[in-house]
Amino acid sequence: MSLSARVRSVQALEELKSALARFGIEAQTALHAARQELLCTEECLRQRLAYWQAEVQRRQEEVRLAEATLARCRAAGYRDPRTSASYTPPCIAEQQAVQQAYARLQKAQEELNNVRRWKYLVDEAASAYSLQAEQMSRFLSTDFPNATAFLGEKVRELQAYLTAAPPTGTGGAFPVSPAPTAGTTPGGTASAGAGPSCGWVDTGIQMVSLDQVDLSDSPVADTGDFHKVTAQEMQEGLRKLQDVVAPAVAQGADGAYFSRLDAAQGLDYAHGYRRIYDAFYGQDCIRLDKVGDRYLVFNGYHRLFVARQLGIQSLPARVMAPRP
Amino acid sequence: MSLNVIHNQLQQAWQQLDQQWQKTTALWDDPVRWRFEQDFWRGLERQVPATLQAIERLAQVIAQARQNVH
Repeated sequence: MSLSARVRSVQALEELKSALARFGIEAQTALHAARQELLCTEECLRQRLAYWQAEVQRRQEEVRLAEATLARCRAAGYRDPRTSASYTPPCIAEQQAVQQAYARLQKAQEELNNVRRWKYLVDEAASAYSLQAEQMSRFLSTDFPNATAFLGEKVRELQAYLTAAPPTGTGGAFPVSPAPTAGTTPGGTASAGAGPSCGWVDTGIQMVSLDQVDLSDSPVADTGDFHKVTAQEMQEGLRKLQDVVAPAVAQGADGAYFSRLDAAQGLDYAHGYRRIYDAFYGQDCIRLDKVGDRYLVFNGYHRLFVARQLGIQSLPARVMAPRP
Repeated sequence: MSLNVIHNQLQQAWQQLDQQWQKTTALWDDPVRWRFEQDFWRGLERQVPATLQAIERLAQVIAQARQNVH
């Protein structure tokens, strides 16, 4: 059984794709910076290890020299041949020097052991980190491009559908994606024809009261969210709709009529009435899903936002309703 | 750049992406999304927190090492 696609904002998919791409770059940058930081720390520890190893050797030599000095001092004792009394020099300074040399050696050995211990702990943490970083890096280099490409493809499919869908249809439904095949990357191609038990019926263009349109999930919060067309251009378009296009359509005018009207008035497409007709009655029309007595927005958040700002009560929109 | 800064930047980027995902799922709910979620997003949900945790652990050990090694 095929299931209907339920995407109510192509823009949201585009934004997700952009957000994924941004995150991918930021994550790669973070992994690189962390690797640099780790290498720097490892190098620092290697240098400290070499330093304390050299210090231990140097202080061992100090001990050897101090002991030799003490030995020479003690060897300086003698027996007085006249009194037969033995004289042993105190060698206090030499003994202190030996004690100090041993203390310095012990300190260096403690520092060396300390560096070895921390080097071991850092190496251990680095191994655990590197394992995870490698997995993340692999994910970023393989799954991420696939995911962003998939989203890009999905956006193109939806845009193509929005452009190519027939204005009315017998059993016309939202584009459906084949049920995903296990073990494959998602990427079903949009195609027409929902299953009879779960399809949506195109009820055609209707005037819909804006009070019934649910804009709670609208990505448009203010005029800063307009990118392709400015809010001002859209306001002008809505006025043309109300003043000219909608009344003419109510009397049977079609796209060709507005093309002739534009030609007669010397208006190009961008500034003419045909564009307004296409935006509300043609291939670019607002698309809504009727759920109960509410309408969920599939396409047209920006137009609906501006219409509400202008106090417009109703707009033409293509309404999809669940198949009875 | 310290590992703490790297950790915070990655965490912030992840929060932003997750918010975008939540926003998108509210508008995209069909088998293709479910499959995308299963094949990609759940993997990302596992990988990113695990990486953040690994960076955090490494940052702690490195900070202690720098404090204790003379």
